[in-house]
Amino acid sequence: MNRQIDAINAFETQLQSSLRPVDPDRQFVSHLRYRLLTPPETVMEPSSPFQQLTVSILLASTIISVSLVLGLALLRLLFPNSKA
Amino acid sequence: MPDISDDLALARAAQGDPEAFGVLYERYVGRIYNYIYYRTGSPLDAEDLTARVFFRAHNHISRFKNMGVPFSAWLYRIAHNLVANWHRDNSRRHEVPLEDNLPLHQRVEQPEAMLITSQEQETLLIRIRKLPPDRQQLLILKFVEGMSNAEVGVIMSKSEGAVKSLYHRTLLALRDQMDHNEEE
Repeated sequence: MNRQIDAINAFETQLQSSLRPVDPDRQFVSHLRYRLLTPPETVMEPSSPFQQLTVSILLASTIISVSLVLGLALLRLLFPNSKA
Repeated sequence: MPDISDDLALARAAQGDPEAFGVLYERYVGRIYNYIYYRTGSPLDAEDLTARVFFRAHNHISRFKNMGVPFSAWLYRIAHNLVANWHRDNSRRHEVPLEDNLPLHQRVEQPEAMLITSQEQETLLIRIRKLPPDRQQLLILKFVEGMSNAEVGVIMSKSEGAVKSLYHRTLLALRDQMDHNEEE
């Protein structure tokens, strides 16, 4: 019985020497801390060619519409008695 | 700030205080790294999984309220699940002996004199990594983290008696395996 207990104790000592704590790399620890605690910066995402085309079409149609309205208003002012 | 309790740091971290989470991080990063390192045998994978554990904890910290377990137990559970996924994903991967990956300061300084011991340790670590996950966890928490049976019980959701019993069975099984290995 004592022999078995001694064997178990010796085995525990062997385990103790095999399972020693290891230190994580300090650079890893500090870099991970920085990544965790620093909020990611807001970066404006560059627009895609499709988005650029859509914006151009919208801008052009707005300019044309405004020009037409202003043109009609100008005609009314110049020729108030004409039948539209 | 570093002296505040886990509960207070948790409460502050849940309200968005980054320094409070930093305290918890500094307190547990080494332990979680060690746990994952001994479960995977790879320093690089241990770093990757440790980062994932803390990002997951950070992202879900506001949900961690009165879950009935200490913060450390929650972290170990996240680590345990990630390691299980890692083993599942890498089940066909070639295993690298753990001793090959030990940091330089851990390596034996007199290789000739310590060769037998080193080989025994390597064999023992390989045997440990072939144990069921709960037994590996138990040995790592007891020997690497230096926890008592009661502390291990909190982490593993077992009673102190159940941990003691599992520990005894694990030791006997592991020793039998080592004896059998020597006979071969």
